[in-house]
Amino acid sequence: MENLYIAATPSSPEVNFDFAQHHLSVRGESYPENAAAFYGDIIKSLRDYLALCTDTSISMDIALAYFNSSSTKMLFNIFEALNDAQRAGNKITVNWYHDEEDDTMLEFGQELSDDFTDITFINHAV
Amino acid sequence: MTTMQMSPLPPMSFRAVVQQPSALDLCVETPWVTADDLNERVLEVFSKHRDLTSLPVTEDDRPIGLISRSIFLSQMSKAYHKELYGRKSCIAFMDKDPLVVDAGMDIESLTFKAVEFGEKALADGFIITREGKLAGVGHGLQLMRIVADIQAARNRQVTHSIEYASVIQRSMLRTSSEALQNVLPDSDLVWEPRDIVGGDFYHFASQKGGWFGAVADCTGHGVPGAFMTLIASSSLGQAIEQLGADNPSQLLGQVNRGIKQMLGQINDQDATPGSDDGMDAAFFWFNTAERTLLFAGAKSILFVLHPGEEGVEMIDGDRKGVGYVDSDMDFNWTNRLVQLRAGSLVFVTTDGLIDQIGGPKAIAFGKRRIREVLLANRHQPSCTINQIMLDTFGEWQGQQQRRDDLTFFCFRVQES
Repeated sequence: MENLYIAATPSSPEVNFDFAQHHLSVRGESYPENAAAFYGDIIKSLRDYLALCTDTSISMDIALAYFNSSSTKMLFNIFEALNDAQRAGNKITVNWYHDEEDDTMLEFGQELSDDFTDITFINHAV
Repeated sequence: MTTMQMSPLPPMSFRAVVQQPSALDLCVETPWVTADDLNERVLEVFSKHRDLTSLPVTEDDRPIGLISRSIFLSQMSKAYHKELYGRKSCIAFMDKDPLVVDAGMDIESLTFKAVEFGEKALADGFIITREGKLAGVGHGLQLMRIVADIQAARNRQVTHSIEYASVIQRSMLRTSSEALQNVLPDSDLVWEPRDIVGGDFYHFASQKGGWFGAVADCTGHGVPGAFMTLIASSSLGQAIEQLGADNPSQLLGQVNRGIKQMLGQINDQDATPGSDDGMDAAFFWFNTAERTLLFAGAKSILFVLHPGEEGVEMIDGDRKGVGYVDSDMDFNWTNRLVQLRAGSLVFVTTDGLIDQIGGPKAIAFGKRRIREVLLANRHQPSCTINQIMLDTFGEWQGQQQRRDDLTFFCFRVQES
């Protein structure tokens, strides 16, 4: 499957899905005017990729400084897809990066790890 | 050599005809030469018309090329060139493939075409024809000017439209802030949409035995956010009429159903609905006699400071948004009862305050800084506290862009 790379803009994150290496990353800020349009294809190709994976170790790095509420919904959809893949027998590790002083991002990461218990969730304060 | 005449304007009509700007608006009358003319003739024309940047060449009135002044003069100034080429046909130094457009071509297509064509269309200009015959030339600078004018006019139109929408949105909020001032003298509300209109709204209503307050943040900002506030706010208004205002949990449930129904957010197997929008909100009912606050929150938080106590109490709502496809039709938000006293301070905000990026490390403002501002200024009137919060927020934001709409509300329980 072809890798997916989208360069960052001021209001949308860099998306780098290296499907060949089973290494996915999202970083930057996320407040596009139309979050559903921005994330629609990203989530679709993620799901297509995950459907092909069996017994695979997949890592997802997330380093976001800001995202708005509609992007939050989209992040949940990404996590749902990852959680489903874990249940289907893959091993998903999420690396959640945030600034050591950024309690807001720390808390959001904790909420996600509470909600998606099947995924291995590693918090990184940097 | 002759000078082109533009066709006369149609006779005056009482009805103003507004036409989309086209290449015709850029068309400048120009001298021209024919393929039979010689280079010495071209030199003459360029000497006579000092401002002429390029000269069209025609055959039977149809353009066949464009002679650029700078290219032509630099060629002719070379040694012996005047002698060698002066008596030869002017097509020698002519660009045989200039940009040629019809006078009726709209400005947007023309702009794309000129950019695609490259630098020479902008530097040397382009030929404008009518029914295939030379009508004149257009210049890059004029094209830029007209594009800038069109852009400015469009922006102005959109801005005026949104500014008027803002009049409507503010009117909707005004009755609430008036109701608030009547029942709560020591209270203050900040509502700052990021883009003229916004997705945050508030609602206050005074009823027998107390008052109801809502601070809500709909998904999106700008125009789509403002649409959502109208839907959510009218749904809330209807819910209060039906159910009264003293049960925030019930009201959140009713607004949830209202939004889902209005936007057709029913999780269907075969069809994905278009809208997955909703809101975060704090709904609360203050019982004046008991001094209790009944709070139901959808992804929102209440900050409470009691007189004589050191810390800030933070009361979390449920982590479930109102509306959205994945919220159940009958989800039940929890009512939390908070006992307040005379002098207790309550602060509630949308995430525009908490999540704003700023400071030396470009990270979120966060709840900690909110608590610090509240603690340091707890004895001030609500309006001073809010002003200091806004100033602190502004300093934090610094050169960063505003990320979201901003709404926060502060009140102090009165001595009776």
